[in-house]
Amino acid sequence: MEIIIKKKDIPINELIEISTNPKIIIFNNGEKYFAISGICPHAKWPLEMGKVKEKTLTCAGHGWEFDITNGKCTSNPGRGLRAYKIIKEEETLIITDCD
Amino acid sequence: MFTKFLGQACTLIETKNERIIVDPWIVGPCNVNSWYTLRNKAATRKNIPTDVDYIYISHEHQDHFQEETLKEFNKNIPIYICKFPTDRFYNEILKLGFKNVVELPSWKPEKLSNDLEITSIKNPDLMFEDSALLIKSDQGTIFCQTDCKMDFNSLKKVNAAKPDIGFFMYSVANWYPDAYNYSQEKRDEIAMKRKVNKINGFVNYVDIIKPKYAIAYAGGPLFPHKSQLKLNYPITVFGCPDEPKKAWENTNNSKTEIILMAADDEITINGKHTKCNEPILSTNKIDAVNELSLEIQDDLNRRRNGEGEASSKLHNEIIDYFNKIISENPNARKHIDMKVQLIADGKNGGDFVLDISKDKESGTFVTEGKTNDWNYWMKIPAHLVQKAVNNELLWETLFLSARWQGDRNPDQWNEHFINLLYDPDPTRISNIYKIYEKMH
Repeated sequence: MEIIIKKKDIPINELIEISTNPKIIIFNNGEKYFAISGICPHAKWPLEMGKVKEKTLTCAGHGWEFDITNGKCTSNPGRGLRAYKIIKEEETLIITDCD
Repeated sequence: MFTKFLGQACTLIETKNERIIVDPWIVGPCNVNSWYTLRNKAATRKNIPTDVDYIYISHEHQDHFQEETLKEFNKNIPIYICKFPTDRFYNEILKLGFKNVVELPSWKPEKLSNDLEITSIKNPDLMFEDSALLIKSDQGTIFCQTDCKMDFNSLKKVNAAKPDIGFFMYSVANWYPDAYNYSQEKRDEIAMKRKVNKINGFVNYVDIIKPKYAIAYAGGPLFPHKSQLKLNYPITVFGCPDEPKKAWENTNNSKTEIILMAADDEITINGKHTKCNEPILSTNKIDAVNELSLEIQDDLNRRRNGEGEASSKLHNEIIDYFNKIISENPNARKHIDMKVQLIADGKNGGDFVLDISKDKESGTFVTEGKTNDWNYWMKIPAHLVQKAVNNELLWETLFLSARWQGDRNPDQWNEHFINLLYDPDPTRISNIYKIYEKMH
């Protein structure tokens, strides 16, 4: 899997859906980009509806919390999200499966 | 068509010809003599509308399924519930003497008459059983979320049903952080965060379902027993309905009107609200609970004094109970992976260590005594432990009562442990982990 996206299409501090199948979201905190799977494992709410504060992504449905940097579920350990690898190029990002 | 709100998650819905009551908890306390509904004065049996045609119960938590209220209803009235993976809830209703209990498959509409159709909606959770309800008549559609944490697709389907009125949960029903040994500062921080998350959830549910009118309900209870008055402290996970209303109004979304309803208030399908009581809000909750506490204290003490005491055999019963449920569930053990210090506090109590670590595969899983390397610490009145190990009291109900103390190391939720206590039936547990392990 390889998704190419332009950096200018990713605003700072917003959760953006970049793929629907598999569903992947990306977040730019102003310094770094993070890509993780975009569906909450609890009740399948779309995670782009959630909010990010520091490195915690909170699902809009029932408040499950994830570490945006690695996808780990901090409110319910073991129920994490898949994290994706991001390769930065000059104007684009390439999102791929982790090694 | 109109709906009468009867406190907590209880609604009475009346069409031209029929009446259905949902989640009837109206009188008395629940959760081991601890919770009361948000009412200025305690309800009496006269407040229970027993002349109904149907009852729907969303799940088995006592603030939805309460024996003291249900015993007032004729046992021939049909009770509808969601078809859950296990039949434990179905059997609990039969134990109360009801003769006609009907399980509805999730999202399969059931026509009760020419003018009344109900659709039960199961929660997506693997481990815990709950449901919401959609009620349709010729005059309109009403949605009752009850406590159900719904999947996103179900919300879109409820939206497609175009409900006129929606009742939405706005508060957690949980013992975290109140039962845990946090500093006041840490407890307040956790409580505020949880409340904000839950109220955000309310706003998002309303925004997706888009009823014409929304009512915030199934919120926090009052804790009027004098030993628990501090749980009504203003900074709490248990909010009041003015808080989600304010949060909704801050979104400037005018498509849905939020109605503040007090217990016994009514609302027609066209949104005409008839006030019968003053609602309990964040501004008057403390005064209300203090008044209620004075009113019901003697009754509540009588109830607590009648709870009985632990037997002299409790030691052996604790050891047998936990050895059985831990040894029978190796899949759960693997995921729980912790040591639990259980203190059964009081007469005939004692200290026990439950070894539920993943490497422990045989031998005794329970020993008497203390350990310093616990991951979970629970101090529970011995007579309540007695009821739980005798299967007379659900552990969840006991935990919800907040009549115990807990601690965690590391400080994190272990859903696998709570799930084991929720229902240790090995077939249920095994089925859950077959799915869980595919998911993760």
